[in-house]
Amino acid sequence: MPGPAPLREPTYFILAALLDQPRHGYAVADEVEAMSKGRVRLTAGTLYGALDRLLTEGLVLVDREETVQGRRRRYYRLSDDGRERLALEVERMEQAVAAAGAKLRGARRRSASKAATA
Amino acid sequence: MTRLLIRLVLLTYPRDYRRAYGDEIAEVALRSRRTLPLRELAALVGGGARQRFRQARARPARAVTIVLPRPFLMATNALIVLLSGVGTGVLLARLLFRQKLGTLCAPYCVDVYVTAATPQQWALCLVLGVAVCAAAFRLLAAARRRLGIFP
Repeated sequence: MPGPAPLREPTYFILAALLDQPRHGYAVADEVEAMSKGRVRLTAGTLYGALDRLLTEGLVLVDREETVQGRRRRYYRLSDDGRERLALEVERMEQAVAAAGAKLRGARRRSASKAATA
Repeated sequence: MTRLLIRLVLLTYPRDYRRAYGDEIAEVALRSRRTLPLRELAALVGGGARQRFRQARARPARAVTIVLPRPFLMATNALIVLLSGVGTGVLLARLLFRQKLGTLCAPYCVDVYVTAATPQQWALCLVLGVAVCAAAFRLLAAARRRLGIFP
């Protein structure tokens, strides 16, 4: 039976950003950018769209709320389901990397031996 | 991107969602200066549209039976679509002719998403908006050629 659908990259990084500690929205966006080495830059619209969906699916929970300078700020944390979903995704990607990596190494060996005989 | 502009764009989100998340979203949008403001703006409008679609899908029967048959609301929406179309057309024309961008047109572009409550209205707004935009753009292009407007 096939597993769940692969996570989209922003969703994957949002879940990964919440692995070590609860974070508020801006901290999540910052962590995602740092983890992806600047490749994934979440806009507010994308971030909160994804967070809302993850909250609905129960993969992310609201840890606590704070009021900073009169503005409400929520801290989000990973749920057990979210942790499990992320682990599944990591496993899926590891399998994909292993499969492609083995083929790539084989192709390199073949081209190296061809070059040596020529 | 000013806080006022973000607050304006946040009107694209449903009221209850805006009350719950508006402060957070504004904070993230205001502090993400590394991204292009236009990209941020588009993402916020897209997010608001998705939220409205989700809410409309959750309560379709009530929304359709109450909102759609009212001619006054339909007329109001049509008027706003017209204004939005012209506003968007002007904005596009300014972009294309490399004029300095003003924010005067932004309220028109936002209003259309605020007042449309059902998927049917959204579809109507989209179709009319695109049609009016195309017409406005053609008119402006003709005016530019003949009268020298937007040099």
